[in-house]
Amino acid sequence: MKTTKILIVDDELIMRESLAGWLERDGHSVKTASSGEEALQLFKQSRFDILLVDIKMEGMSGLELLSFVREMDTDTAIVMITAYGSITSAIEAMKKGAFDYLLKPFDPNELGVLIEKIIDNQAQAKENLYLKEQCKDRDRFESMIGQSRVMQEIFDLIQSVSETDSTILITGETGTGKGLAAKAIHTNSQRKDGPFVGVNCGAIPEHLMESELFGYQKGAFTDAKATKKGRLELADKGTLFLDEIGEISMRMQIDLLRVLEDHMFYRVGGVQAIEADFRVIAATNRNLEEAIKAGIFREDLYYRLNIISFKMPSLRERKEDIPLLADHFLHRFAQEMNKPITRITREAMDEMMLYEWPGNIRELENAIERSVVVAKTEKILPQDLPIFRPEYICVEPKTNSLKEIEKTHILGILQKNEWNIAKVSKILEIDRSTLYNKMKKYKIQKPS
Amino acid sequence: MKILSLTDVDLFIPILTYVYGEAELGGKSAILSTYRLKEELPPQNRDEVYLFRLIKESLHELGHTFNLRHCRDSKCLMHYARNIRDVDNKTDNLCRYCKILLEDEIKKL
Repeated sequence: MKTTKILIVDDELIMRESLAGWLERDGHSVKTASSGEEALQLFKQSRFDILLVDIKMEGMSGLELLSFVREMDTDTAIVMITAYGSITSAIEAMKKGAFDYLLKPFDPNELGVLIEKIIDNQAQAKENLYLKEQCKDRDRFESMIGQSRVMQEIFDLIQSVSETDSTILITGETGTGKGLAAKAIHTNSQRKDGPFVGVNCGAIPEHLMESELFGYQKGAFTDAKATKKGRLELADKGTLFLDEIGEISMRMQIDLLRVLEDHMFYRVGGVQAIEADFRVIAATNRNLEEAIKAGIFREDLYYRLNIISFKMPSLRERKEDIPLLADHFLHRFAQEMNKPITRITREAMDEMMLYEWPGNIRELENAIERSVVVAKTEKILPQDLPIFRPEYICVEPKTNSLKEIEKTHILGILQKNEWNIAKVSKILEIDRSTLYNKMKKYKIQKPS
Repeated sequence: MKILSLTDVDLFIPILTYVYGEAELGGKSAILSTYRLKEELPPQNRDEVYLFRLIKESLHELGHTFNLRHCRDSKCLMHYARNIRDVDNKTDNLCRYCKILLEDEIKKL
């Protein structure tokens, strides 16, 4: 099952444990926090889909936590848990942006239905966003541009893999253009006259995934009024692009593995095997090898997908392409919005070169779009850019010990980067083994 | 070794009003209450239906000890029964997916 990340915040251990156990058996990935402060700390380190928060807690109250989280993130659904009698605070929480509230103790039905409702809502929102992005992609296919050495290598690679018909796995951070690379492979391949069918595996709710991929036969279920072709069938003679493959449920992994092996499948409710001829390109921003170790991705499917693989470089790794990309986006948006903006000032460009772009090209594109909207002159100034570049503020350290300062610095960077060792060692400009040794030396451990 | 305890008292966990059973996910032990399995038994074949419910829910809890999570397929043994009708509606078999996941777990043993 696609794992939904849930954080339970309650100051009573027994409540946390019993709820966590139930939710884990229901297939979710659960973390717990005993206070609002601890929850906030965890929330800063990683993303959660749902927060279940007890209103009444020692220290930071549930309502305070709700306000803090809402300021940082608008996608996480927050459900308040309240005892009978404190309904007023539950209503206040709803006004402050909570998704819903539960009166404890609650019926297991009620909890199950609520969690399902949240998952469906979030999936719907994600799918809408994906479709919007796809529409945008149609217009910005030409934006797969770059003169950097890494991008030249990618272009050569795309050219050579296009000539084969093998399954391809594209990895890379979000916003690096994995979808564009997949389309480029399709358009350069022998299948270019066939369809390019995209599936965002992370956006389609699990219970709809089966009928989306395989289609359904009339009468297979109550709403199946007519037979519908699934995306596998639609991709016949073309390319099937499985985006966010790392998010696919364990059940669908089993089905996909079978389909990849023999290209035969059944529509939901169908008895006749259907054969489709498509090439599979999968993409993910997840580390699938780690997902295999965590038991959430099947090893056999990974090897089936990973016939040819390459990684799209992050914008940080190709900073020399920023001016080219920025100019390209500027001209496009200026034309679209009919604004006489012709250039980006040197100062604004310097800001962009210094920025880390965690959201990569997509973030750069959005930044330019926004700056074109707000720019008051014929050029883009630094203040028009919506980028936040954290300044290195020189503060007096609390200690003079070099060891202490090093320890605090390493810990801070680890926390900021969600304990991603590869990323942190790159930032600190040391190799991974040195980082591990230092973590061991300073007894720095990832919180469980 | 897996251990399944049976009890005739109603079970609950602190935050939920009732549960049919509890199990350690991927662990050793599980417990099942027969209390709510006696609800709405048909007069003509009470014992037979009751025994079938007991078998299904026992296997369900044991399934959790093999790391199986709830399944959306209403006929699958690992489907989460919201009420006694859901218990009666499911079969004593695992669906295709849960069968494969169970096989994977057994291979790991």
